[in-house]
Amino acid sequence: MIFIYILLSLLILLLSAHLLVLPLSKKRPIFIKGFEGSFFLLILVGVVAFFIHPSLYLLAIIVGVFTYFTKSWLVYGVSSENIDRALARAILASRTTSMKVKNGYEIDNSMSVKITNLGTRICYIQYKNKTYSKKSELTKEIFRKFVQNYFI
Amino acid sequence: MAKASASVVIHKPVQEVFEYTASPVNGSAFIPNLNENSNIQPEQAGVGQTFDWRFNMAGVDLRGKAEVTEYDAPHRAKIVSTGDSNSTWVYSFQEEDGGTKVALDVEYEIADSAVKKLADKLVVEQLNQRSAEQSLENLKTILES
Repeated sequence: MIFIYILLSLLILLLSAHLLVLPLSKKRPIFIKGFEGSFFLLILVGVVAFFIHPSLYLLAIIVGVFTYFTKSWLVYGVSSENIDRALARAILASRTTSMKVKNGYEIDNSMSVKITNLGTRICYIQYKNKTYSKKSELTKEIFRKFVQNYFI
Repeated sequence: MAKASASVVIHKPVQEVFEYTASPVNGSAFIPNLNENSNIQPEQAGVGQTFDWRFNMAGVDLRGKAEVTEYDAPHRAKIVSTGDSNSTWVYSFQEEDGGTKVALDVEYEIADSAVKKLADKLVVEQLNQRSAEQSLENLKTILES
């Protein structure tokens, strides 16, 4: 059991260095997204559960699975106005069609992007695919770059 | 100097393909590892246009300056960059089957200080070749659909 906790602690240190320390050292925003982001949240809440209450293990799994399957991003360090601006620029750069919807855009008639401001420069960005489109995936990637180019 | 090259046929008029590709403003949209081109001066694309670039190679941030040294619309554009990586990017455009054949030839060498940070030169070369191919695939996706 101790071995598992040591392994988890090492994992969380490595992921923290990669996901938090590295971007912060360059004064760039923090991204929690994809498999590594979901796994990081899962382990983080899991470690908290170890110290607080075992029932929180369930919360750890829910948070991790939710982040992964809803294809969401958590971004720290950029205002929601700048995130909106980055998305508008990404749409322009990829020459994709877009339609403004509440809190975001629907791009290439295939993917909706919703941006929720959680305050203190933390934004929750959620993607929903209607159908797969190479162009909307590319727009998403350009959007990530543009957000990451901001300084904290 | 190491090399990477790729080509693709884009079903759009040569002038449109040239204008989009040769403008440093659009570089980070279709070049996968290019994080940004900034401080682009003057705004109008052409010979003498300069900009700062930031490229991510195998997780290492490389930076430098670049200049458009050839701008022969709509046939050829050449960008020469210096900094953590000295490179020459040549885009050639040719009308083909009612569309445009775009060829990209990149010659590059990475500065000693940056090379030390990179794990394996061979892996970097493979990544750059893949990046050149992906750049043109992205260009096709952006311009055709």
